[in-house]
Amino acid sequence: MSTTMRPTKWASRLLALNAWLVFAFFYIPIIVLVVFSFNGSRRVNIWGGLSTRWYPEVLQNEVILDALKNSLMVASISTIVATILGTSLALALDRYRFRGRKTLDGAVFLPVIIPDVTMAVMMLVFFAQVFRFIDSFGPRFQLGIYTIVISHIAFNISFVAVVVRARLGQLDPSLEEAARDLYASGWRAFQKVTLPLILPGVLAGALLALALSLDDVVISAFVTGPGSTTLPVYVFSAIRRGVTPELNAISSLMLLASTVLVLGSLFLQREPKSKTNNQGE
Amino acid sequence: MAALDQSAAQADSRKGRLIATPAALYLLFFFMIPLGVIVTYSFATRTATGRTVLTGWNLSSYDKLFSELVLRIIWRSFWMASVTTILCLLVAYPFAYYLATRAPKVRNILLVLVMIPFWTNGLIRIFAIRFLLGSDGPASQLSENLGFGTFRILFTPTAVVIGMVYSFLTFMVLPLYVAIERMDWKLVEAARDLYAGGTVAFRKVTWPLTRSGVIAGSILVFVPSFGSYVVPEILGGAKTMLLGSYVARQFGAARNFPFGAALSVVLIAVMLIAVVINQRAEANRA
Amino acid sequence: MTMNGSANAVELHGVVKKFGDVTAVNCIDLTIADGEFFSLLGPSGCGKTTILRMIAGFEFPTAGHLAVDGQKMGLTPPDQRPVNTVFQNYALFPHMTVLENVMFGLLMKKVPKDKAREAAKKVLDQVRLGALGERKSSQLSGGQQQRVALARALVNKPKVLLLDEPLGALDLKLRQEMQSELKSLHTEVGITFVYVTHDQEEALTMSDRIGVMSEGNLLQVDTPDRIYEHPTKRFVADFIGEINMLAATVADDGTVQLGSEQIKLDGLSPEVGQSFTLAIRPESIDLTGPDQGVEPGLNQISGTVTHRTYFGDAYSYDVETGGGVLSVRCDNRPDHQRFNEGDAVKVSWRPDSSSVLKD
Repeated sequence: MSTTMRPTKWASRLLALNAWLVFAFFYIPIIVLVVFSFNGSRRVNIWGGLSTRWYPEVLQNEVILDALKNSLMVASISTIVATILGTSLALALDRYRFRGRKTLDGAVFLPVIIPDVTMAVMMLVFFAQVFRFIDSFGPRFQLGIYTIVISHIAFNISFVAVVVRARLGQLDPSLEEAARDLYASGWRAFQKVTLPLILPGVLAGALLALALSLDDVVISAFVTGPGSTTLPVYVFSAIRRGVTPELNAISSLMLLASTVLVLGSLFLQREPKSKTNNQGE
Repeated sequence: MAALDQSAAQADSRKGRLIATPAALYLLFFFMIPLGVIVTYSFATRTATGRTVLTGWNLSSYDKLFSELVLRIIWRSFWMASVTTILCLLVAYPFAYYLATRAPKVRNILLVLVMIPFWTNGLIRIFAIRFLLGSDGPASQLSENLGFGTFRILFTPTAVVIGMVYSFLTFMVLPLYVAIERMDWKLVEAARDLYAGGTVAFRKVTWPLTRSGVIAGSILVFVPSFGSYVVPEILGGAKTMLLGSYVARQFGAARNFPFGAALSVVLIAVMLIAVVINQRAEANRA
Repeated sequence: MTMNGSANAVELHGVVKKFGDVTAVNCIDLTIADGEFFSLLGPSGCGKTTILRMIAGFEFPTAGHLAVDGQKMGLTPPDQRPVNTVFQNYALFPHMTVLENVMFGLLMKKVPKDKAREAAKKVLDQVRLGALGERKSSQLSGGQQQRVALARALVNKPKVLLLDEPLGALDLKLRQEMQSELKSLHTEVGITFVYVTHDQEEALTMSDRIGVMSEGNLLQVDTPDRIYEHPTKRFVADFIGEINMLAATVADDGTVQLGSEQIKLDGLSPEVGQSFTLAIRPESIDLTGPDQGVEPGLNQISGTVTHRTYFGDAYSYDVETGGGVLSVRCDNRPDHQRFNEGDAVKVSWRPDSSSVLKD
């Protein structure tokens, strides 16, 4: 921004104040929660001295560990499938012209914006209807981990496609043409040129899918079956029963995990900096 | 014989369709068909035992939408989502402006600070608000120690709005940031050069140029707020029943799938209207 | 095919390319000989790049067909054509080093890695980038990137090298340097160059032949001197350099009438009674005093200087004559006789240095 365009002193002070209030708003609740997870007292609101006693308790709780295992399984399977399908969808939408492309382009946006509850009840009713149909042939199906996985893939495809497409949009199309011109077949050009160049976008999309899957409560809660409770579903029902020090500890651990995820994602998306840049003539 | 370029385009289109097919089929089976099923259910009949029978199609579920209780819930959801959206816009616009006008190095650090809570588990963030605002919670204790007395805002509409702003603020910040950041500052300078004061320049140049960001951000906040379920479940009380929770209840305790489906159709309609508005805005910008 | 068995490098037969309702290339026939430096010259949007992309295989004709090295191309994809392209923005692979970029084509053709590396290093030396093989392409200057793009294409020894405004992104000085470098590289490697440019000077200095294009049509194909001195179309005359265009008619007795003056034409004989446009370059016209003798056989008209402009190395005069206003350019040499505005003068030119423009 040009120096002549600086807002007045007062305006810029207000802008800065607003910004720091926003950051405070973002961070204070989280920080308070983490601090109180080290509260030694059973009564969450009364400070009973610094202690890490709730962490081992949480990590030894079978129910929580099972829920964590389910969550990780759902998240990893749905991320892998959604990343493959979402990336191919992004490629098709960005690079090819075919009938139905416009419709598909519009439809991709829906799973991104649909409210959780709507998607949750719609998957529930859908599975109920499908089971009713299959049951009439004999085998009996019921909700379980796989129904959660199916639902998570359904929304994650779209998120991956949107992220990868943004990256594809920045890619110079003549790079792929150059590869074709230099005797690479369509597949080799993709493998040697396009894929390496969109890889940061693909990984960012995969990380987003992972985070969204680990984040989801509502859809999982509706299509979960016996024994397939995920960690957020467990935490959600625990919160509704009341605040406990164990909850604070689990939450802090989950916060830590997502912070690691976001830093990893930012690390992947950063612009590659060349080390020898200043050696040019 | 077909023209060469047509044959080439056809081959290209076949390839594109082939690549898109797995994902398209997946979305068809596990998104579009479920969407169709829920719409179909809204016309079905609920038996006395709570079962749904797919015969005797009728509009009685939609009739129920116009009962006073339901209208009040929809209206409450609407205005709480509106208040949330306006609050987010008021806070996020100057915030995004501030971010976009920092030096690149500072800007990148600030962006990381914005992204961390955004990626943080949403449920946990709402739980953090609940913990902070609880009666006897840290905020209340602090206020008491400072001599302002304890306060009770948990389980009130205020708490729900705070929670929704907390949950969705970043959805407003990011599109605004993108719009402001890619704006050509020379246009603002040109306006200033043409004797526009700071306020006029903002109103006539900056605001119109960033309007697509405002629209995108508003939609990204309004739509999930309108259908919000987790936030009112954790922060709201019995008196602040919102549409999202009410829908969920029809598939749980109330066991009235056709009515729940009709309520979902309201949410879907709002979502589709939002998508259309966004597409119009995008088309106008291009 | 030519008689001696060696095929033409590129042949276009009735090639048409439409994008929707827009005709980008309108029924073009063109033959480019083996080893030739051929330029397609025209303003942006004239269809020259589309022709290049069709030769490369990125686009396919709507009608007609083209052949490379005597082989009809049809739907042959780019990777199976014996041509390589130097892209306008170079299109160097940013995730590879310079050497990896240059080796790419050879590796795709399944040349063993060590042989490919050797060949790539040799070509990099040839374009004087031997020392920069390990750099990433983003760490190079514009001129260096340009030369990597050239090396990356030439290392494959293609039958035809396609160059799409390769110097467009360089500044003037570098551009002139690269022009002569390209020209000598062409002589050295003996590969056919098809060069797309909107810069007339570039086309004139480097090419063996030039094809001038406008709005999808190929207007004139000829050697640079013929294109410059004897344009056949009004657009060609106008697009390249400065030129006088005057309305003329052929009188009943066969003489050519330029306004009130009678002149002679060489070699060109429009029909009796026809009106046409006579084109003549300002520097082809001589300016002398009204009483000075002029070589016999030249066209000569008397007139008055109305305007003089100084260019440093030359003077430009506007001379009002019975045939219209003529722009005349005279080199600023020590023996040059300077005229002032209002001076009576005589303009003269050789009958073979003017051209007849159709349309």
